[in-house]
Amino acid sequence: MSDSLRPITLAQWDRRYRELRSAGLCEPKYGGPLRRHVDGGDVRLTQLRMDGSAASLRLWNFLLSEEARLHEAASGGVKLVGTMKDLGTIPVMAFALDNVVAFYPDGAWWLPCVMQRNSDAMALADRLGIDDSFCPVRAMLGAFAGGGHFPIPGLLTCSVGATCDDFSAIAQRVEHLGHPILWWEIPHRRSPEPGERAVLLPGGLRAPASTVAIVREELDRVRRALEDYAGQSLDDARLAEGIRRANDVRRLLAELRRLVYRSEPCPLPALEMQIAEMMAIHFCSDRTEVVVVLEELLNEVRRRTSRRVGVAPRGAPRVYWVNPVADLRAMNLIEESGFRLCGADYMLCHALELIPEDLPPIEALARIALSDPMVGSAADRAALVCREARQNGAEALVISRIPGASHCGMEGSLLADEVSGRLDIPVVEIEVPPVLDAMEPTLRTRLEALAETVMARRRASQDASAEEAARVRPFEDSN
Amino acid sequence: MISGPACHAAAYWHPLVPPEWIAASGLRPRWIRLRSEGRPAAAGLRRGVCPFAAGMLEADIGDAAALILTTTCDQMRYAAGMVASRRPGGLFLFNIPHTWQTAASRSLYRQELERLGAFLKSCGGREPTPGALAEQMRRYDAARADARRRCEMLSAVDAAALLAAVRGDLTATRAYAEDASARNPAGRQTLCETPSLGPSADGLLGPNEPSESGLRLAIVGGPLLADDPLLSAVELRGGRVVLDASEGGVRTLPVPLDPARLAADPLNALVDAYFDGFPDPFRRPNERFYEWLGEAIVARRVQAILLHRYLWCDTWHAESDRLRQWSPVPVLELESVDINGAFDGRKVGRLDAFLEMLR
Repeated sequence: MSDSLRPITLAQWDRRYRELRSAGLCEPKYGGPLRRHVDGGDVRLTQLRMDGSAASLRLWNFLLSEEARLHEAASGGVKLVGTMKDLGTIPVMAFALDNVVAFYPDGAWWLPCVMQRNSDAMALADRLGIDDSFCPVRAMLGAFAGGGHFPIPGLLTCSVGATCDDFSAIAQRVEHLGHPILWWEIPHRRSPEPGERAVLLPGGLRAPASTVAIVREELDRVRRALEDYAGQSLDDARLAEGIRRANDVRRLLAELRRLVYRSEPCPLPALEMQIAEMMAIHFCSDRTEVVVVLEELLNEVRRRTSRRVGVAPRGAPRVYWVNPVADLRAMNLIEESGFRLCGADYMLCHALELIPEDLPPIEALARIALSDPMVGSAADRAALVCREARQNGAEALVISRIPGASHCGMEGSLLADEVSGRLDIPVVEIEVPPVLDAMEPTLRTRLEALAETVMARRRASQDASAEEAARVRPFEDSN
Repeated sequence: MISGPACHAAAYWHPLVPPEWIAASGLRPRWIRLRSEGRPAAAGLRRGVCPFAAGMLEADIGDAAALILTTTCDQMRYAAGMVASRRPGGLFLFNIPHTWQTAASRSLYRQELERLGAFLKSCGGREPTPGALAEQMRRYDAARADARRRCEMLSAVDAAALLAAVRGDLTATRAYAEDASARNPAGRQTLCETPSLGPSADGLLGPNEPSESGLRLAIVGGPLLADDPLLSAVELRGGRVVLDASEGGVRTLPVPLDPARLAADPLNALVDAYFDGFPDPFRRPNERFYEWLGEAIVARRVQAILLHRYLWCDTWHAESDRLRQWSPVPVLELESVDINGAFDGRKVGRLDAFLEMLR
């Protein structure tokens, strides 16, 4: 690893920022020193290690300025759509309209981490009976109840059906607080019956045509609601343009993922990669700016790969990560434990797939929505995880449980069994709380042990290969 | 798949699976009621796993040729994945929509019924004809009407058993086994026409009126175990469960059939009865649950509510605070952390204190 690329602390970022400014750094309107976000309440930044590039500075500022940008947009008369749970489909539709911005209130699930005690969202959720046996997304309920975070959108949509119970139940409580929600059904994606007409989805999974038809009907209903709200037509031409723009973002991310996850050494830390991938779902509320942010990040990664420098030692053990983490600090532990990230499934894989542009737009969006691995079986999800893990040479896999999430209780063991059977790599299941400080020694120990296991397996494999070569050589020599 | 005579059972646990559809397909409906094992279910103690869903993984379905699980909660959806890995054949995951007010969701429910029918046929059943379906629907409708009347006169434990019986194989309960349409033109059986009683649920069809005294309580929540001590514990302490709004109680019985709709299109009538207006908090939106409960509280003169839920059941847990805020009567929340059936000291103490407060 190049020392100059080692992730840096916030204090180091204060100096780094001054250096960049002295060197002529040009910033967007939302730019500035990261320290100001801490002053604004995002105290977790003081515990994180962040990539020290100008591109990562822009990424962080883009992420951390989202609330302020949403408030500014709302004040300027922009219509806000709060899209819940679907992670990547409805924003494509909403952003196809003029003067409309979509965002995920679900993103409040990081408030307990990023703001720690500076946010009362969790306390408010507690008072409403949604305690810490629920997923950290309960902060969303607190955010709606107390205000003081994102502006309340004028239209709320929420996908339900094959979705996690806790989110659905919390969203229902949001509605009870007086925020009407347009609920739309995302059915469980089952395998087609023998002889049943089936559709190939983006990503390679299959679904019955009848299920796609249901989702198509539901998305049409959402489309009409968006039209009513925005006072504009959302015809196929506009939707097609929206899909094309979304695909621009997805292509950037595809290239970023290819370079970051496959290059040696790893050119970008796991923390920045998770944030970058999250941009896919709603463009961090700015569909135009996100392209600039991701292009800068991609250019930085290209520079590093051409110079063969990175943030982890060459040959570091390769780990595949499953599920987003409630505490961003956990992503630092990947490199700190000796690993480099070689792939991830942050529960938004369908937001990374290209949306077909050769189909009627609503049909294309219905297929993308159904391609979400989370709406099908754990076996389907495991198959996709294994495919990417194998492609990227994963030597270990970590399943990061989300505390209180209804799917994690059983899904973890289902995934672990499938992956172990298919890939023959060690699998570890950990749980990452919203603030992991008290658990950090335990988590670090487990990850370090996993990295050591990988290295031991490598040595054993190399020794076995050497022995085999030595066994064969006398015969070759004699020939 | 099992072949041979169409006399096999299909086991199911969720009230939105119509037993009459199973019966019309030529299989015997078997309503699953978990029983306590007298020991903690190991998976039920796993962090984040609902003990009831974990219990379903270990459920003994006997010789049933088919097991029907549903997508009404995420825990069960993933439990189905675990069952599928252990029991590849004979499992049907019924895709039940969470939305209910749209044509799409209703259509999905009907499609799933048809798919279930095809599955049951592959398990040794037959394709239900409209006539066979209508007959089974009349039979079950009459049995439910009779059970509703009788429940008001039975202890909570006996009422729960009777309601379980009318969700299962009616041929196993002599009183309900005969062709309802042969009894009277309205197709309804009445107590005075009941033949001599047989075993099991038949024993509940005789007069056994509980005392009219005692606090009038409602039990609301998820599924109770077949041998759940809660019901008897309430009655031993002078309470009287006048409304069983648990998952196996009257709340989840389908609405009475519309005879005209039944004659015209039995399958649509089945969808009407089951799907439209099913009052449960898992539905989105779930206002129908509160509407139903509000009416039932008035009709049954309920004085207090016992909310029973399982640890890690987000659906009921999330509603507990709202229920308390909404309810016109006091609410006590009782959480079950496993399914070993223990009515532990904590629950006993809380129940005693609650009942004492109410007197």
